[in-house]
Amino acid sequence: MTPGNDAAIETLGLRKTYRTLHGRAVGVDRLDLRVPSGGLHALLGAPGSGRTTTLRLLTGLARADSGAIKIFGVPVPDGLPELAGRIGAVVGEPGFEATLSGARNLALLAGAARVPRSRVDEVLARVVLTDRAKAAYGTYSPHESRRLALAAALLRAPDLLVVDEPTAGLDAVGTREMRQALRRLADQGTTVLVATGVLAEAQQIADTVTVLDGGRALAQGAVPDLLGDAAVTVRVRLDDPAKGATVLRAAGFAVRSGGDVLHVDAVTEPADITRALARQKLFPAELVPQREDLGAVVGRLRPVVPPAPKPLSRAEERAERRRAARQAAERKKAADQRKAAKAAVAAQAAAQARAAQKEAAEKAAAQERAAAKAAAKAGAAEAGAAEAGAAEAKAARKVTGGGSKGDAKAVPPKPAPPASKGPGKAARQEGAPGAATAGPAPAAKPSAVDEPPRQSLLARRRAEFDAKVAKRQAAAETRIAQRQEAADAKAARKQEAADAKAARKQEAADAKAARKQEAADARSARKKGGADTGPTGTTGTDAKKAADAKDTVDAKAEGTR
Amino acid sequence: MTGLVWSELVRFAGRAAIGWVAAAMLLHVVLVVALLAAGVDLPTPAVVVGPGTVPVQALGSVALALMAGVLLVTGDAAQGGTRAVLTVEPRRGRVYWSKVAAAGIAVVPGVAVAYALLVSGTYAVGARAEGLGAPSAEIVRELSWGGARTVGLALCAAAAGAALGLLARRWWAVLALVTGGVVADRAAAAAARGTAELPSAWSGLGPALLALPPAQATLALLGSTAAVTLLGAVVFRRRDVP
Repeated sequence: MTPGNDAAIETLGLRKTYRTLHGRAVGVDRLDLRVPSGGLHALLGAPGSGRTTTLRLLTGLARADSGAIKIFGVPVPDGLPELAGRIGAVVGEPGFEATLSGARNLALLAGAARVPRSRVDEVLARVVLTDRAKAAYGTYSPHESRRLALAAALLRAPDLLVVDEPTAGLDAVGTREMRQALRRLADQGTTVLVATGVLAEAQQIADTVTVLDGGRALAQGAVPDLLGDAAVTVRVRLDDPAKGATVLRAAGFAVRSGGDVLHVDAVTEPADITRALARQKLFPAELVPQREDLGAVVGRLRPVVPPAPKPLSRAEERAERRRAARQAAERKKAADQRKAAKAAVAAQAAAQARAAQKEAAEKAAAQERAAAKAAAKAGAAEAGAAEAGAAEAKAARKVTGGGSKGDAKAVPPKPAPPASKGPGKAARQEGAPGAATAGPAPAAKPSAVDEPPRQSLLARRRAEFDAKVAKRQAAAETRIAQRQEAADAKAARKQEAADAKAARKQEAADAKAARKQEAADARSARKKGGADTGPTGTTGTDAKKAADAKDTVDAKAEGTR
Repeated sequence: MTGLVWSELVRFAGRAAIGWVAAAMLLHVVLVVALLAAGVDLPTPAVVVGPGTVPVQALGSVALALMAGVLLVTGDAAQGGTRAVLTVEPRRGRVYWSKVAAAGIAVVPGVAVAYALLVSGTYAVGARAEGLGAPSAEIVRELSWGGARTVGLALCAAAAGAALGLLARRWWAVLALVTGGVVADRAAAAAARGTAELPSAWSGLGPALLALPPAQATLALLGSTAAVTLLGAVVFRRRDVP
């Protein structure tokens, strides 16, 4: 039978969630369903896809969180009483009484639904259970039980029959008979809605189908369009399945990996797989074409969505926060350590620079002193030599009788070198390192010991930077110390205040205890005085209290009796 | 509605639970009479039944009636039956009140028979021991009124039990709730009497409710039953059927 154009069932944005131990589980999520009037419509999906939940919502057994349902144009569940005679349903276990016969169970339901008793026999005949009608329901086989449930659903001759898992638990014969019965009902004009997880069942008996996955409708339409058998799944066994999967995916195949075998979905020509593998020198050990299963259908119809980040649970969030805090603390600690190491290195470098300066200055001063001493010695030696030359010339003139002026001119005496030049020359001759910086005359220019040593630009900048860092660090330490002192002072003030308060309280408590003790002593003294007066000395108040207590006891005893 | 109530009654009659409840009522009666015959000092109904009171021995039957009401609506069979009925009769209010009514009606014969056996047995034991003659017309009238009150109390208890069963969905949850309530009531009674020993409170004449004057006790009983059943109706209309 060709389905009609108008819809028997329409849902819009239907959503149903269930409360579980781990939060809320989604049964149906924004389901837009359209079941055409007439024919057999299958809700096809794997377990957990929302098939049964959808049927429960349609029959009013469950309430939707949001969304709208219309059955034959009547809103559900508010309009269900109007649809009482038009819907028959088999959802879940039927709940028949095991001790009652099948006919009796149906008669009770007929009485509840105000259906004539004769209708029970009709529906029993329709599901071929007349022979077993008088037998107790507890003796029914699963197949007979299913047929009795179907008979119950047909009691009111419904326009819409809703059946959940019609062949679950049935043998091959029962399955075939149940499918035939449903198909017959659809052919007779009843709109049949079947929820099933068996692809072959939907392919065999359904006119239209809705494929469900995760509570949503993946696709709706005619069975040949959605579940056509042209495409097959091919199972491929390879020595290197990973490489084979890569090759086949590159060739445009939809590949699912299943351990050491690959499943290639929606294949129209299995030989294409062999060609694609052979081009890459891969040869399958096994290549078996299979009919497409429900998983393949769902996989084919399921839209490809990027994997959403998994929401973290509270415990995971706490662990993540702790981990981030720990990492931050470690980073801070490492930064502090680096800073401290840098400061230490800078301080060491500064100390070394200062030591080098001092050493260089000392060395230069020592060299200068040594050069001056040497120059003085040389000057004295030259003067001695000149004096000796002059004495010799004088002696010669004396010997030659004065005719030797020309000789005297020819060998003039060497003038004594100025004292100032001696040291510099000697120093240059020695090639001492600090000689170039030494001034020509210590009296004329500042000494080399007072001058800072000449450094490279980089070294100067580094030293300046180190000094700046050290200064800032010192300032920071000072600030921290001041704050610490302030906090300590504040804590001490608080402690003092608390101590004072506790002391005041203790004093007050002591005073109160003393007053109480005094009052108790006074009472005991009065009592002692009264006892001394004898039994007749009881006060009027005490006598009254005793009388009241006696009356109360008597009254209680009377009430108990 | 009649068809629904009848359907519930017939289905309930077919379950093993109702047989166990009836057997427990009979056992309770036999136990009380046997204890009296053995010389245990228990107040007989003929002694304790007064205007507006219910004999304490009959409270066992009332408690069993409450459990019968709970068992009527809990368990797989009952829930499956509810589902099946709702597919042919989607008006949930009618289905709910039919269950409550069926629970009340179902316990009436059992409690009445149990009360009659209890009164007859205890009077016979008393007559044999103390040489009493045939009961006077006044005693018979008082015992009859006591029986009517007992049946009324059991009816209310069964209806409330059905409502509680639909609310809690599990018979053991209701049992725990009711037991806790009774213990709390006894503890309150013990505190009111000024005794610290809980067992001594059990020697009273029943729940604190029954210590009220008859008119107030009746109103309180009906009011509490109505409150529980109305709460069950509201919840049943809105809740998913398992």
